[in-house]
Amino acid sequence: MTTLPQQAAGSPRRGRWGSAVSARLVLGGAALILLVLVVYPLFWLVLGSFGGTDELTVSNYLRVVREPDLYRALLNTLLIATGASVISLCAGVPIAWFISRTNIPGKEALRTATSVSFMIPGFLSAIAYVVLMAPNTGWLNELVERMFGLDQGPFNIYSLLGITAVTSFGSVAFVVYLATAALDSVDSGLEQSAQILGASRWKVIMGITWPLVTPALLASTLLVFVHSLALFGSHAILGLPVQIYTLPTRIYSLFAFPPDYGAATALSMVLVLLTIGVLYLQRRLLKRRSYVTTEGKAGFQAQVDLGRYRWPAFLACHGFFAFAAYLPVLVLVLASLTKSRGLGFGWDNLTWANYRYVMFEYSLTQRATVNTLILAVSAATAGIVLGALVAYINLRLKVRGAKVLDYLSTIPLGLPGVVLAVGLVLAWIRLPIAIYATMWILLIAYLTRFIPLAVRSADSALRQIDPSLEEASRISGGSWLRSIVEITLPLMKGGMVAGWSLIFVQVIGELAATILLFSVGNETVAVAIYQRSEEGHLEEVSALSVLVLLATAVVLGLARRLTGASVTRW
Amino acid sequence: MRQGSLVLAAAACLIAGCGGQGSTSDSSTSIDDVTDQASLDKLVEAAKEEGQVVWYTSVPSERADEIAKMFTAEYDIEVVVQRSGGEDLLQKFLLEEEAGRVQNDVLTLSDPAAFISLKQDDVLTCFVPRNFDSVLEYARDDDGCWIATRMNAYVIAYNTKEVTDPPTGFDDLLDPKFAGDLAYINPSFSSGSLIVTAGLANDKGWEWFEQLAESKPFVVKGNNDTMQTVVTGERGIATFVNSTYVSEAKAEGQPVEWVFPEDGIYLIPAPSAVIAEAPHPAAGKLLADFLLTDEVQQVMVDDGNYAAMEDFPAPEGQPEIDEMKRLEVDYDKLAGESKDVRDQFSSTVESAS
Repeated sequence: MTTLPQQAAGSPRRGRWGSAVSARLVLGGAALILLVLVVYPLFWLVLGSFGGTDELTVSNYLRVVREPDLYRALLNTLLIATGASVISLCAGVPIAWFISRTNIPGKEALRTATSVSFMIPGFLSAIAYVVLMAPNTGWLNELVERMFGLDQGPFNIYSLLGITAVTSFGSVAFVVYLATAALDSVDSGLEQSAQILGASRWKVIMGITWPLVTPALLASTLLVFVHSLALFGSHAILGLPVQIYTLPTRIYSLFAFPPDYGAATALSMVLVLLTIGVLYLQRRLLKRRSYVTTEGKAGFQAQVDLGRYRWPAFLACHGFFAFAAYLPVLVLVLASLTKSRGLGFGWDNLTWANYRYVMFEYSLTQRATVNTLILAVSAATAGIVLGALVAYINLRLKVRGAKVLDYLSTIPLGLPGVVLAVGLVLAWIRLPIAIYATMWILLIAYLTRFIPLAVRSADSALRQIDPSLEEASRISGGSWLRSIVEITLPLMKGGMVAGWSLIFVQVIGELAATILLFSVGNETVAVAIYQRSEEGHLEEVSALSVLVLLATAVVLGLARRLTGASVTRW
Repeated sequence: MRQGSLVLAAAACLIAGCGGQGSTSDSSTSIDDVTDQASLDKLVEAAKEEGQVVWYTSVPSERADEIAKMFTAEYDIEVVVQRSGGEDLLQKFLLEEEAGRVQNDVLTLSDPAAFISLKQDDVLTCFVPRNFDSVLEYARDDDGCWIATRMNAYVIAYNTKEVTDPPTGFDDLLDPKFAGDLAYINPSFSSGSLIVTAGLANDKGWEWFEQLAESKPFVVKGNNDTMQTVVTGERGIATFVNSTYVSEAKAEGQPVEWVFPEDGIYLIPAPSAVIAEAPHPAAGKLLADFLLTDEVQQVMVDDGNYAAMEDFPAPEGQPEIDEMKRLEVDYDKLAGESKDVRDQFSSTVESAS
């Protein structure tokens, strides 16, 4: 009994010491994992670009630089990425604001439409747009031709504009997800105070709301831009036929037998440099000021009454999603119900057989579904935890080199899937541990490829949170881990859920790396879809894709409901 | 030290997928060719001890699964089928081979030029299966390092709703009346197209391509995209496409028809080979031997491919080999200059756009 006071006196000190150790362990561990995941395969790629292990040379770079087509491909790539960023911002920001802050009708429908636009795999949405907007046979062209008696419809999806539009449809969700999460965590009391002080509604939006969500806007713009740099599927389907080359299509063509790994990796370094440049720009822009908007109390959300603009806003949003989601899905659904695409529409061309086949007869479906679910949930969960820790190191710790982690964690997004996959094979196949040819290599691949989504989501969420909250918790005796888990993480919840969803969806559709890394038994849904499409069964591919879209939408809805409930409780 | 290396060996074994006991590999290497029943029995015995065979194949999945089942029924040995597009599989195999971690025993693709390079790199096991002599002479490597499993015929295809007066041959394709109607497969993304392109460049000269460029061909990624483009009518004519895709589309009732060009037909062997560092060398040879049996060859013909062995009928609706003019391609030459052919193609076709 008499020893009690002593113990009481001793425990806080021990707590603080233990806290420092646990902090170092957790953060150091996260940094180490990130380095292994990203730097190790990247090392093999860089080495490859300099000629491999035998002799170091810059000849690959010289060859790449002398290639006359390079500059046109680079220009096309930049145009597409910039255009996609602009379109995504212009559409995504109003949509996010409507969802978060206004009384627009049918918010749940808007959220779902956003997710659907993101879930359609790039190559499928490109194929859907070929059906809709091919110059001679596109449905929309034929519609316009019939309506106005024209010879030639106005749309041509095989163009820079077409590629840019399709790219932006697949990436507007980056903006909507992150901007909604950020807006949800801004206390609308700030806006109201400004309004009470006499600022006009427009001034409040421009002067208060948008500056506060700047980190989220910059983060999502960066994601759209870098993501668009490295896309292959849609660029190949829509650009190659009319000789519009981009860096990814050039890089992919270098993998044709006999593969020119040296030139392919050297050319990929251009994309790495672009990624680094864009991130540098983002960091510079965010450096100037603090974006802390969450001070711990429940974010009070007042809704703006749109008044007579409610329905026009509704129409505008769904008008955009008509192109970004509804029309491509309509094409997929129709294709999935037809016997044969050449026969046109008619009752005798309708069938359920494609669904029956992919659900009950196609041997890959069941196994692939289970594998994909396991991989997507684990990659998204592990990824977002790791991403949050990396963002924390970068923003909260005054550690030398934290910046480097931030850069490293973004580079993988700018690499075309096949390049990253080659790096991963080179890196992981050599280890004397059975990782290659197991599910683990896929999990590692997905973590590496999509860690940028996690880090950028967590980073933008963390920038809004006042560090003093955590300090307060620690001063009053809470351990470091407890302060993080009980104070910081719950406040970041919106951004974390957004990041989780982004990774989850991307893993389900990931093909470029999977196709090199899967082995028998660990196929994913994307592989199952690819196999059927590669063998030309587009109707079955559509059926399988529709089912995958439905399943993904259900999981995302559940995730939002589960976490949404706890957010309001908080 | 000893323990460490044991762990390493065990791990390497796990990765490489060691099947049987260490002794089996010795007995299997002693079997070079399968010439008689005795050598076949010996091979079967060794293969059964390995217990499994891993097959990387670009044969369509239903066919591959069917053949795997037939093999297992015959020899009671499990076949692990890794089915994928030819280019992806080759990529995967090359990386695994380079790292010294070969996963598969047999490789089946449709690119003879690639197999010629692989032979030069000593990556393949050369052996003579039972039916070696029945294989079409131009469809096998003389040393048995690779042997065709099936033959791909490249034909012209057109949409019957869009084109009433179809082209008859390669020169006819250049007729200005077909300008804006042609789809062409990109040789940078398809090995089949690379071979046909090299063949056309040799037979018709690059002038043919200069004229082709003037009709603004729609240069798609592969057989699939070509068929899609023609079936929908976005372009009326596929300059060339693997005939199996056409026969499948026809069977589905799509509005397409084929033309066997009057100039002749590019009939391209799709080879199989046993890998030198195969984890199951005996079972690999046994499967390679099995691919050249009457049953398997008949599966190929039923699937719309030409058989690799003599005395098989042509696939339904396609001309017999004896009756066609077969266009030759110099694969040895192509193996060394594939990049030049690709570059020449893109600069020729792009220059007009």
